[in-house]
Amino acid sequence: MLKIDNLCKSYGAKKAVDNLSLHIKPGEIYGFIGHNGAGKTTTIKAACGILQFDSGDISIDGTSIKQDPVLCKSKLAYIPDNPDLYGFMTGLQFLNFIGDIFKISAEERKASIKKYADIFGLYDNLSQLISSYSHGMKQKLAIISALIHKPKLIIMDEPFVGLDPKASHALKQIMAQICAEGGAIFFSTHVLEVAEKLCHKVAIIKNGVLVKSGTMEDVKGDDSLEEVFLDLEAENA
Amino acid sequence: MLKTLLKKQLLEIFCREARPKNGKKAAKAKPLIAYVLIYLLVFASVGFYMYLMAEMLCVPFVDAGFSWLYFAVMGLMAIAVGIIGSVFSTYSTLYLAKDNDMLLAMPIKPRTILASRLLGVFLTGFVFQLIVMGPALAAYYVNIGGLTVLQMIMPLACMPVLGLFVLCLSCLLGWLVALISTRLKGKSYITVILSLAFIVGYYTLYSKAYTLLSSMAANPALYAVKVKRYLYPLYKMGLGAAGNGVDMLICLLCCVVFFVLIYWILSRTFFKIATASGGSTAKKTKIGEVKSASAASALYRKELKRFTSSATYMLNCGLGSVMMLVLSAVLFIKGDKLAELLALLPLPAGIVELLAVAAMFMSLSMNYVTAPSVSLEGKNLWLTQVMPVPPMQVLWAKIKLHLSITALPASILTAALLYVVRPNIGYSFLVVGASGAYLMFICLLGLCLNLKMPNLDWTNEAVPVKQSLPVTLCLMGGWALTAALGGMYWLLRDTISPLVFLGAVAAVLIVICLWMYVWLKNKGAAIFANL
Repeated sequence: MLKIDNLCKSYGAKKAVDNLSLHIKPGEIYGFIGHNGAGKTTTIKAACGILQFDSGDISIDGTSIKQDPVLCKSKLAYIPDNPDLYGFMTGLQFLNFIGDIFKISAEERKASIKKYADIFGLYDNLSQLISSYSHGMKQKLAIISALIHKPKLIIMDEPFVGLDPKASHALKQIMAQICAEGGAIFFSTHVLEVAEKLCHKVAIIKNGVLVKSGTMEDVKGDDSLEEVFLDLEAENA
Repeated sequence: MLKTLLKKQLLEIFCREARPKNGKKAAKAKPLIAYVLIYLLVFASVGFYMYLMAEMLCVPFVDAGFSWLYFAVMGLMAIAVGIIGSVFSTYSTLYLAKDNDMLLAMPIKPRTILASRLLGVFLTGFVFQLIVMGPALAAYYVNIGGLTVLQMIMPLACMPVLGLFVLCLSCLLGWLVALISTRLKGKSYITVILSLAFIVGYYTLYSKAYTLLSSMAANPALYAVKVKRYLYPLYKMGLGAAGNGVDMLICLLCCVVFFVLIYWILSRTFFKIATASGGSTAKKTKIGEVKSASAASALYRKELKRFTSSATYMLNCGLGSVMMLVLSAVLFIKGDKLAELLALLPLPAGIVELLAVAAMFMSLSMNYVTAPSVSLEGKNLWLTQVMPVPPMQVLWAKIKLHLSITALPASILTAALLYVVRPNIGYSFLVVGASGAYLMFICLLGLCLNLKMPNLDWTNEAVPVKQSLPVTLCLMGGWALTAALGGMYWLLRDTISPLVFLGAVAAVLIVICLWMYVWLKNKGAAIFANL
């Protein structure tokens, strides 16, 4: 579903991502962990087509994001770590806007909005301006906007930050359901316990270089993910 | 603390064009110098015309022994221009800055934050009043000989006095708008209506002031007495600028007292207004309101909502539409009298048509909706970049917004001008064609400039809407271009007819528009995708 081949991206002289390759298959929840500034967000933004990269290729469902970015974007949803949404719209207007962009029929979007807004406890707030939302409410709205168009691939940057326990639990369930239906999820997190429990596969990035990846069992063995991560961080520190 | 905040404020105003992008080490000095040079060029063009006007008044007033009247009149104009320039952004600069919450959470007194915000308002007003006072002083120094040292220095002293006065008036209006906005819904519309009411009042006064000015030039002694009686502070300021140090000191002290009073009022309410939620009430969600539309329509509606949600954006970038409608109404009502007047003037054939097109160009330059539209995406830019729509479709929505706001008033004004001027078919065709081409020119120019010079890191939307280079270039550059075209025709008047000149201008504008459109489709869209 998401194939990253030899991705390289530099900011001036600094190599943010160095020859990174990953392959996320349908039905997989893929965790992406690393220290602050390791290159997670750069990789994620490149995968979403909102950041140009120097070399390598990224394909979504078999289509190169360089060749046909619009087709790729129609198949994915992106939730950033700090969702800045249109503060001048109400929550409902924003979801309707997303519905128009992704060409969702009126009936389908009404049902989806109702369903997910109820799950995340945001239904009663949808008529308010987004500028009056808290960080958590914006995060919930960004998640709902990502779910209503039924993407094949969801890419999330720290999706659990700001969510209350109920919403966090609901998101985990939805993630599992999406994967059960053949979708794929690629997300970054600093909460290693969540990654350990939720992900089928995990990749660890350090200073822009992929230092370990594979199934959760292959990566952590008998240790906890936290121990593996801290050991890798200590190496060459 | 104030020094730190002032530094931050100045960085926001002056250094945004010099920021390195995407981690690249950019040469900081070059963009900043270019930025300053372009501003100087634009202000020099407008200032040149102010100089001509000042020169017309300066010598007769000074020769009649009324130097102070010259400074009083020019001061009055400077105050008007300064207020027009700064008042529309005062409310957002003071109260709607995005870093208000962050700064208020820090151990900083609200009045210190307010003081740093006032610097922005002061600089905006000061720069605008400088457009009048700079040329006014230049005309004085150039045309009046035998000045004493005091007479040389004191005119300069009136500039900070006027700047302070403009600041006070702008803050007072901004504060009133804020007070009303915190209590009512639809604040952007209320701000627009209040500001438009202010403009109508201002122009009513200004039109009368112009008649007064003409009369003054004919009989300065009589009006000097009247100014002294009814506009005493201006009289004092005029005396001060003419070389009376005591009067200038009194004026300065009065302005300082006025400022302290305004600052005291504002600082008492700053925290409450800056943290007010805006009086929004929770409404019941009506899922039935959800309707589907095309992506193009959704993007256009998003742009329209962005425009109508911001009084600053509407007032600064869409004011031309209101002006065009007002001008059209005046032309339709008083058109016959104007036509009679024009018939009496010994103007060569075609000149009136050229003047009509110049009026059209000037009015169209006041609408520059696209010029800050990319910058206004700000931190929301990721949304349009991650959507499955081609970047050009997003840019096209911005173009459509500009056209939908400007095209109708422009068409009405064109019809009004044609009604008054009554040109032949050839000229009529060219007036319409040139106006349409110029409308598209300003629209595309604004978008191209903003793509080349975006500012996505603003904390106050007044910065991209009011103080950015693309906006300045569209407004003042548009006026300067119109003036330059007028100058060009004047130079070529013996070799080219107005009809051919107008046709050539329209043709060149169409070619430039086509070139800009192709650039937007290729390079512009790529720039937008990778911002």
